[in-house]
Amino acid sequence: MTLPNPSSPAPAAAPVGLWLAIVLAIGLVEAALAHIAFATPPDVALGVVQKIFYFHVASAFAMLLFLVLGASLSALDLVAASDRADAGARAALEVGALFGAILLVTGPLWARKSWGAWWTFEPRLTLSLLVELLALAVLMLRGLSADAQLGRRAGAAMAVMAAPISVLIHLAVKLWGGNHPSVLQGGGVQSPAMRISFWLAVAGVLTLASALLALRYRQLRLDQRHRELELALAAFQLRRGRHAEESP
Amino acid sequence: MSNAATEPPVAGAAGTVASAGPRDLSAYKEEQIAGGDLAAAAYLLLWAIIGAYLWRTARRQAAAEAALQALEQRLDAELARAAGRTGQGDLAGQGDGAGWERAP
Repeated sequence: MTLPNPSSPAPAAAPVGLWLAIVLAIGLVEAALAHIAFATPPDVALGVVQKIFYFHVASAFAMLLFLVLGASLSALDLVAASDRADAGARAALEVGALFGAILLVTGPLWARKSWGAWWTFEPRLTLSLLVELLALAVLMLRGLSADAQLGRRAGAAMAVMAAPISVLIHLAVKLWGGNHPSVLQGGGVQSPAMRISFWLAVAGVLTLASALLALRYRQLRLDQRHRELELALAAFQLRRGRHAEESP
Repeated sequence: MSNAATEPPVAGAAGTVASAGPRDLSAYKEEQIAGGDLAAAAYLLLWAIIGAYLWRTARRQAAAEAALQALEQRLDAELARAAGRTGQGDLAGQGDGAGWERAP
């Protein structure tokens, strides 16, 4: 096999191991779901709809964590122009946006029952929507930009600028109030069964999000490798053409 | 159970602000959707979103692997053709030497 100067070696993650990690993560999520459905009592005030809470909050954790990770890797890419950081940033932003979508879908279903409205423009909801839209804008910029390098750098800069808003989501209730409870430490879940469900859901969602990140990262690295080889092939053909012209 | 995370807000209570959302739940009693249906919908949507993403990423990965393999084969064929033409087996030393090499 002929390769160009290997600035980006082939992705190391073995597909079998990756798929095994995804299956294990799905198993963990299923275990959490089973515990929520069969071993956790419904909330006294809200009833069974409160069971949305476990994956709603876990998705919020995943969204914040992966969007901040994506912004950090974007900053690294801006500074060091690293293909690995670029692929990691893109994958993390995508997974963050994915769990942001889950957050924004499950939230209104719970709110309809507990608040009596699908949506209110309170600070935390509005900021969550804003961050989700920003993440989607970055991904669209990366995907649709005619100039790939410009799209990469502009997208990375946008992701870095959006990072503080992700942190503000966490602090929004404390700073500006709103319908969400202000739970910065300790949490409001008191029942042991509810606590187990909550942490199982968090562990399941974060494991699944990490596995999805690894899968997407590998695919983006394959794409980078493909582009690199295409350039190498073009350079090789050009060199061979010159060689043929110069040969008697 | 006292669950601060799930209690509906009380208008005017400390830590809450006025919002467009109605607070008098009794007005909505007749049109309330069953909580179980909402929870089931939430979990179905959760799996639908994750499943769609997983399916799309798996397809993209399979396509990327196939494209990469085809390109590597093409590159090998080009090198083999060039080697046959020059009789030297490698063009690396004939140009600027910028990174062309045979992988082991």
